[in-house]
Amino acid sequence: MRLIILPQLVRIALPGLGNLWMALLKDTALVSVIGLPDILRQTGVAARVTKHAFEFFSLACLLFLILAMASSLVFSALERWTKRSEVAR
Amino acid sequence: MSHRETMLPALPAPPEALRRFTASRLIGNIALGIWLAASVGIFLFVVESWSVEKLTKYGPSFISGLGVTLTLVSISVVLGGILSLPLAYARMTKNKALSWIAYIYVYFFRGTPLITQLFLVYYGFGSFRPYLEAVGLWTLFRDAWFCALLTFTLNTAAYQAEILRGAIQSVPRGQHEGAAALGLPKRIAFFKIILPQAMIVALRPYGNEIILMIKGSAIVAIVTVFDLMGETRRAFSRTYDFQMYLWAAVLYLIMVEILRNLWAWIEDRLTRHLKR
Repeated sequence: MRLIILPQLVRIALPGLGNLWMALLKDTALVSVIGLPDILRQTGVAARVTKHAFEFFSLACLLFLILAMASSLVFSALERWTKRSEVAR
Repeated sequence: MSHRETMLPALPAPPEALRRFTASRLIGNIALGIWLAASVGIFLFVVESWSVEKLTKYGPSFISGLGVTLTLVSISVVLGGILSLPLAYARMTKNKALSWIAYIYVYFFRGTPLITQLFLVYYGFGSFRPYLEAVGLWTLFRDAWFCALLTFTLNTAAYQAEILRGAIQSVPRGQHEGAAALGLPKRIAFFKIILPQAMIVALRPYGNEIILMIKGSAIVAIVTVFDLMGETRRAFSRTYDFQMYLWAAVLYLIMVEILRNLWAWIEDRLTRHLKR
């Protein structure tokens, strides 16, 4: 199980898990609606105070983009790592 | 070498192995019990707090909210579908600059949350009020419904472009080569051979995308559009009755379920030549 099934299982499951992670990452923005001080909430506060709504919401978009890029880098590195035994073929 | 002259007598079935009560089985049973208790609790709650008066008072507004949700989603999906055609083309073209622009567009809309894009359009474009007024577009951007429509259209266009591109590229090379060998012009080969096969592949993701849009459209309630979620929030703020959200959940569930069955039927019909 640990040495034979799991390594093969991870190889197949990882892309799906990566997609799920991305979707969840984007859905976290919804918690701002019920009052949790996440990126979007703080952005909204800053936009209201400074009246520079466009700049701040663009910044929020950029932050989410960076998060998405970073996690996609991590996931592709993980995928390469799980497939390292296949490269030789 | 010997062989048997008579048939072997039938042996009795082996005794049934005793299923052991393992730890994982215990945990599974407990989890199932919790789920069962929760669903029974919700059901009892709905039965207990059911009132015809609330239904007659807020039912019509729920229906109108449902209409707003459906119009918003259907218009944006259709417009997004139209917009996705040039995007998918740009994404697949050999022109480096064009494909990069399309890639950045798709990456932006798929990499950021829909709610952030909505806020960017609804609150962000308010910063450009003088310019927008000068062009005469301010009346559009002041309207939350239009902002939601614009955001959804741009967002779903990005997703649909990727669906379309993936489907077209999933058609095997041999189909292109076969069409070329028959002397078919590129354009006819694309529309008569490649696209029909690609559309069968794309059907399922398209259905998923529409379902995602229906569910995602609930966030327009935050920018003061009274769609199904908006009406629910309004009804809840007047009654403080939690079952309003349950009604909304059931309505969303019905919408998605109808769409899912419709899609299963369409796929069944379109792929009947592939079945044996």
